[in-house]
Amino acid sequence: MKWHTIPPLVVKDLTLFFRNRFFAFITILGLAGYAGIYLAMPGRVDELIELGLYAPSTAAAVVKILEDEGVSFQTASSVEALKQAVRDKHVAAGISLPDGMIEQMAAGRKPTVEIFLASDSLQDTRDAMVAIVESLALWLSGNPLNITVNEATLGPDMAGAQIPPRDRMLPLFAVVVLMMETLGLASLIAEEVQTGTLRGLLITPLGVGELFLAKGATSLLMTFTQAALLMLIIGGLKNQPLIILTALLLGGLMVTGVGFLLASVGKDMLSVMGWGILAIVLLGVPAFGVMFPGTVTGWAKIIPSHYLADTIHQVANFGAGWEPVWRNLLILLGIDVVLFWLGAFVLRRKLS
Amino acid sequence: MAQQAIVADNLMYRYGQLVAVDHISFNVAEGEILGFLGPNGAGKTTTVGMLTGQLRPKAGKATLLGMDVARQPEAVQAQIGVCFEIANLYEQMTGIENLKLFAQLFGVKNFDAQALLQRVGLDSRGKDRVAGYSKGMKQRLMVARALVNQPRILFLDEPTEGLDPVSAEAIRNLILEEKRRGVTVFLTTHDMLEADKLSDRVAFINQGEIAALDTPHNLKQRYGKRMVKAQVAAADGQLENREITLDTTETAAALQTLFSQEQVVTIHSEEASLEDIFIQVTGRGLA
Repeated sequence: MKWHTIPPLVVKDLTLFFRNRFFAFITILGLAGYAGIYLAMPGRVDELIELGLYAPSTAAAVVKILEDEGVSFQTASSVEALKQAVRDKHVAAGISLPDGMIEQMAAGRKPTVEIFLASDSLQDTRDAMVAIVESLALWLSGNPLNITVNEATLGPDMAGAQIPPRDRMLPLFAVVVLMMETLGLASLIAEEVQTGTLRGLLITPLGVGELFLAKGATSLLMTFTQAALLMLIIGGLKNQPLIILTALLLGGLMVTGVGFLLASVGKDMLSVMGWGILAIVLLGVPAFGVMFPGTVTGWAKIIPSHYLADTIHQVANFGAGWEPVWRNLLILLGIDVVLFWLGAFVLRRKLS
Repeated sequence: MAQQAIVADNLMYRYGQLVAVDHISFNVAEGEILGFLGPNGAGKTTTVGMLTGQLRPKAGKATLLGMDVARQPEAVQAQIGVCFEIANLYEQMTGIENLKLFAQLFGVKNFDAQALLQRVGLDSRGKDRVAGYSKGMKQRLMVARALVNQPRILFLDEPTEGLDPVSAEAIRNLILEEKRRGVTVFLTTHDMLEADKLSDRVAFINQGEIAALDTPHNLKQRYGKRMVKAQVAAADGQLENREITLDTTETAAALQTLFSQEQVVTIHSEEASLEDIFIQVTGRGLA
């Protein structure tokens, strides 16, 4: 191995990367943009569900019951005002109790209670509203359920401390930053093949092994530095920085392998970008799963970035240590080896 | 007897079913300039590819400075300089940065980029990005890049193709300078005049085979036809051409008749060009 050939190649690649205005711009803008998006998003989750209530004859009694139960609500002056509050999303749902409800129940009749829901209400919200109304009816009829409810939280109690969306985005930021930098490098490799400069390099004593090592080192330097810097700015290194940095390093290796594959299938910057967008979407799926729990099922584990996204999520958002994530990191390392080898193999075939 | 710098022994290469180089053999002595001539697609670049370790021969063996190219490509590449036909420089880097990069890859100590740029007449543009260079300047930088490791063998692929006369002459002078330093030059070209000027020997390659290999002088002797061409004034005042072949028993009498019986306006001797010989040997032109 001719180690002396690595530094000049890395310096050359970094020089070319930053002399390409597009990539230089994307790098700086990306860093500022992602940090800006993160900081602009709310830092806490509003866990309060507020209800609307229209109860013309039973207002005093209902208000007392709801206040006793700790339910947050707004009263409406009319059914129409209640509907409007729901439409405007000022309240999560509206409950309209009929006039003379208590009297109707006392007379053995079944009064009709209307629940107004926004068009995008979740089924859980709909079911909860029905349960609240049924419970309310029991209270109003003077026969509350004769039970005691004890709440026991299994695992960390996140009530009042839910992970805000911006922190759920940390894995996505990491994957996108890593991939964007890799796209730049993949484009440079494709351009080197196209213009023949790579052929010029390989006519020197430089071996293909040194060439790939240098490209890998440049890619790792670019991707890791950028991702670590972003994490530092947005506070992603507050918990267990060593684990996060290790995950980013392994993530950088993973996208380097992907970059080699992109460079081997792309003929120029445009085609690399085209394939690259596909790769970003695919590798972004596990990170979307973190952002929107329940939207991505177990199959996402076959996507290499799952192990990066899951590690960052667990460590940055739940303060996990090495124990719950070491398997993730080990699998990621294995994926890195396979992707790097595969990328280098395919690119080498293209060069020859 | 001079040591052989390049030995091509029965080299063959094919792309799929197409045989690009068909079992060719030749030697180039140290310090010699070999002009490797042929039309586009004749197998010139493929031959250079095998000699420089870029392509592995399908058959045969290439030896440079006593080293088997296929077995020791990196050791061979440390001793050679290659100037490609198409400029493959880093356009967003300066001339100096391009040269320094290659010097570092070759492990050259105390490399003086400015001195090398001066040799190719680019010393005043060394700090400019290559993207702003003219075609001739890029080609000169390509030649300079091929010289960063002070190679013992220089492979030049169409080094003056499409250049202005001044740039072309500068590169020719540089090639001759390297020859005087003892460097072996493998010059690939389809410019017959250039090959004639520079080469100690020339090889004609056609359809992957070497059709002829000798000094330009010997080729002209063997295949050429020396003659005298004259223009004479006819009775009606028009000019007419006369050709008298030299080296025959009738030459002296024909020349005497020309001068005694006709009014000679212009006269000059003419020897066969390499291009004429190439056409004669291969049955095709160089285009």
